[in-house]
Amino acid sequence: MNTRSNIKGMLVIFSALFIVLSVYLVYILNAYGTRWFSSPYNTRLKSQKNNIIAGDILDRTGRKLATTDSAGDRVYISDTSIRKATSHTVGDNYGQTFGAENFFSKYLLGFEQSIFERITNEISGKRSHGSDVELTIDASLCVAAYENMGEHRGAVIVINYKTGEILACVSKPVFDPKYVADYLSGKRELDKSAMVNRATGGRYTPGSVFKLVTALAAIRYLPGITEREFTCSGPLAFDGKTGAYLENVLLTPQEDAEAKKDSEPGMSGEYRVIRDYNGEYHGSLNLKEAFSKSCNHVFAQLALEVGEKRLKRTAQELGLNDDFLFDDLVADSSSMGHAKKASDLAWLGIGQHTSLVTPLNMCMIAGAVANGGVMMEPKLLLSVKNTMGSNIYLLQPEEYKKSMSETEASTLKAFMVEAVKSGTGRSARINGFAVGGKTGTAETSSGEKEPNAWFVGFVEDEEHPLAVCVVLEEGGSGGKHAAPVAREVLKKAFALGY
Amino acid sequence: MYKWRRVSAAGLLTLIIVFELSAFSLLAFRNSTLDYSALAFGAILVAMLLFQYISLTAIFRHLDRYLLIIANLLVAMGLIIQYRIEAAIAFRQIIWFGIGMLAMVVCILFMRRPNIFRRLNLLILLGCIGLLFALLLVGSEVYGARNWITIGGQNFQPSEFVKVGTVFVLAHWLTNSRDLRGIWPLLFYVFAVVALLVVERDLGAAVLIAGTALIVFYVATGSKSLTLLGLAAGSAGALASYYIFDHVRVRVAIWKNPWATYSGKGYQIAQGLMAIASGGLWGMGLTRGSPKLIPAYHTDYIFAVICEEFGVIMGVCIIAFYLVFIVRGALVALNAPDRFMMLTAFGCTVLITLQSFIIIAGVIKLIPLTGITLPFVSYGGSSIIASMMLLGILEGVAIQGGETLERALKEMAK
Repeated sequence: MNTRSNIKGMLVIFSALFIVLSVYLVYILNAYGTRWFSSPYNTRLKSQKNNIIAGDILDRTGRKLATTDSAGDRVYISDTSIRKATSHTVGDNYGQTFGAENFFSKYLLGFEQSIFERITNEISGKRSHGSDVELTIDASLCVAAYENMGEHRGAVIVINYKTGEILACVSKPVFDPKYVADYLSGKRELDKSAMVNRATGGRYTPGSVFKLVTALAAIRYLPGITEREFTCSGPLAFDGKTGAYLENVLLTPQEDAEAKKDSEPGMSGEYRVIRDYNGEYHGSLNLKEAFSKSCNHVFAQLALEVGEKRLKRTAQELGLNDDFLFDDLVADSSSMGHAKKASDLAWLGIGQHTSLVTPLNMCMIAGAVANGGVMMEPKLLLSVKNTMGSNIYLLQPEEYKKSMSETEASTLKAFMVEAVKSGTGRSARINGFAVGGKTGTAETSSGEKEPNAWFVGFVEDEEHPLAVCVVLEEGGSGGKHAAPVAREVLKKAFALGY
Repeated sequence: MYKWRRVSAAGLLTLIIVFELSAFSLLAFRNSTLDYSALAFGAILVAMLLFQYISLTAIFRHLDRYLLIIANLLVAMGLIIQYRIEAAIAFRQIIWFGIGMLAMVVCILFMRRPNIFRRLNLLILLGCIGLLFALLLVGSEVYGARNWITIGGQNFQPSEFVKVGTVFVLAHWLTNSRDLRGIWPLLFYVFAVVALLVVERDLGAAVLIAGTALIVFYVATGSKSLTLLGLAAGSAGALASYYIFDHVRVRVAIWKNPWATYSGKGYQIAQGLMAIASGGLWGMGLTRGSPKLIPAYHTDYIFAVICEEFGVIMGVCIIAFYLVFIVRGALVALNAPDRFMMLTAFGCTVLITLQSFIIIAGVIKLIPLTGITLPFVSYGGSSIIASMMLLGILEGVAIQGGETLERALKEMAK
């Protein structure tokens, strides 16, 4: 009976369909549940705010960053600098940001309370209380980061790379959670895009910090690359029209300087060129030295040699192009651009062209290097305590992904330590600690604005497993301006015992 | 073995009754004043379920109890949610459920003489097309689809009954012939019905009928090449409609990112997703959600409301119940006494399968949303009557199959 066996076959397909359906239902709840629930559009939150006294938000030292007063109003910590430095992490009460106020509202507003707790609340007849939420950040470290950034816009993020705990997360310009109602009604002026958390959602041109990706790809795919001698004798030349790499055209710095005068930016006479920072040329050097000196010539060449496909694969393993569906925070994804021609690929290799990365992602990459290649999932929620004083949630470190092998990690780690010891990251040196890092000076527009200053690094220390990322918008040179900020923030972290 | 089956079916029914009674007790106590009508409603529903189960199992020994019980469970679930949203809706729906029960019994009885459907086939075929054609002229538009007709103050959705008719048309033509030339009226029928439904913007029903026709065709003929050809034609049609019709493009765009047009067209999907997310794994609890935020909360989107109040865990259970229903339906088809009844029973099963899959998958954003009711659960007279008719046809085949088997066994014993 042909038809009978066909019916059985269809039945198998139907069963598979329905299994997919239920697996997908559980998957979306798991992956997107918190995001959809805490969406500013979810009016259930608003109505719940009227029925329940929202819980407190504490930092890891127990400071009450946000609480609800006896009149039922939401009040924020009285210390203005703490309020501002933690504003993006704590968030606001009006659903404007994805801070803790919103993202953890299922705890704060008691949606996660047990049946027993709900019944007790119901019987006692009091307006019930939401749970208290303890964050992983230390407010004093946030303030230190905020103050060290000076007048610059940008972001600083510090992560414990062994556990993924975010110790500090600062984005500038800030807003004051106390006055969000005034900002909305227009009574108070708000800095432009001050509500955006640049640490997790700022997509910046990476500049030379992208050389971490290129270096990893080179180590992985080009055997013997660490032994090779490179010569950096002048700018790298490409065909002016097609963008093809011209291996045999060797421009000397003098010739380039001559031709540069009458050319458009990025051109040298008939050639399209990639120059090194400030027109320095490094002569003969190996990969480690090229990394530590942040040599554009070598890294652009490496990108060409590795090829776009393998560079992209490496970038992906470091989290670029991932949808970061973290449990504890909303983070935008980083992305590596596409190369239409050889010159694009060379530019991509040194972090220019169309790649965009978030400070959080870069910090995770530095952490993975220091952590033997294991990238931890960033965590913001330390614990949740219900009204009865028991913990209903405790942070469990989670591995996000294995980004590289242990040998690759230790090679890169040595490169980064070298860069801080004697290379571009010297200003991040701290006596008595092995700090590693990579600077970046990212051009965002041709010469009109100062470039963005980057520093991404870590402390190689069992007792102080810290990864740090600093971005200063229009901050100038990463080595001169971002690295010292990282140094000061790390020093403060040591002083606080992290 | 047989005994165990009976006991466990009755046990399942008891479980449903306990669940249903506790839900209605909860609803009765939700306000400060005791809501007696909720208790009465619960009692009426229990009485209906018990009466239906006991009388049907007493009359028809070979009735498939699980099909019946699962259908009842789904209806009870729907009524709980509808009562919780608005008592008046539930009162209307329970009357439709009663009518649906009668329709089911009528279908069971008719299936004792299945040849009636074969003789009247041309009438059914033309009737369905005529019904849809009439819609074009006199139908009224609801939610952007012209698929309602008003008779004597009651709104009907003819496409629901066209579904039932389609099952018979498919089974009839595919029983006799396995090649394309022999079934040209069937091809004409499917093409006409799908085209009319697309023109009336009832995309859900169009996809449903096209899909059912294709699957039953494959099962009956076993022709992989022709089925793939049909699938290709269907996909081409879908692709063409994507480019021709604005509303199809909009549906797909909303599916890709409902949040982009939150305040406009993406509102329904976004609200549904937020409702599911708000419910979490265990749900907010009956009466604690805000189902009215979601458009079509008591019809197409009732699955999201169930997830909000009873949790994703209940959502998964509902999916599992449909799966059990489908497996039982397929078993009924496999045990059918003849080819016509086999195809009829399988057609009913496919309809329930595709319909529940399309709407649940649409609500949870697995596929683009097409407005269609969740069989047995959603509010809607035409929908529940049609679903109960499908159940009746399945039960009719099950009874016939059982009796034939019993007769054969007796023959052998002699």
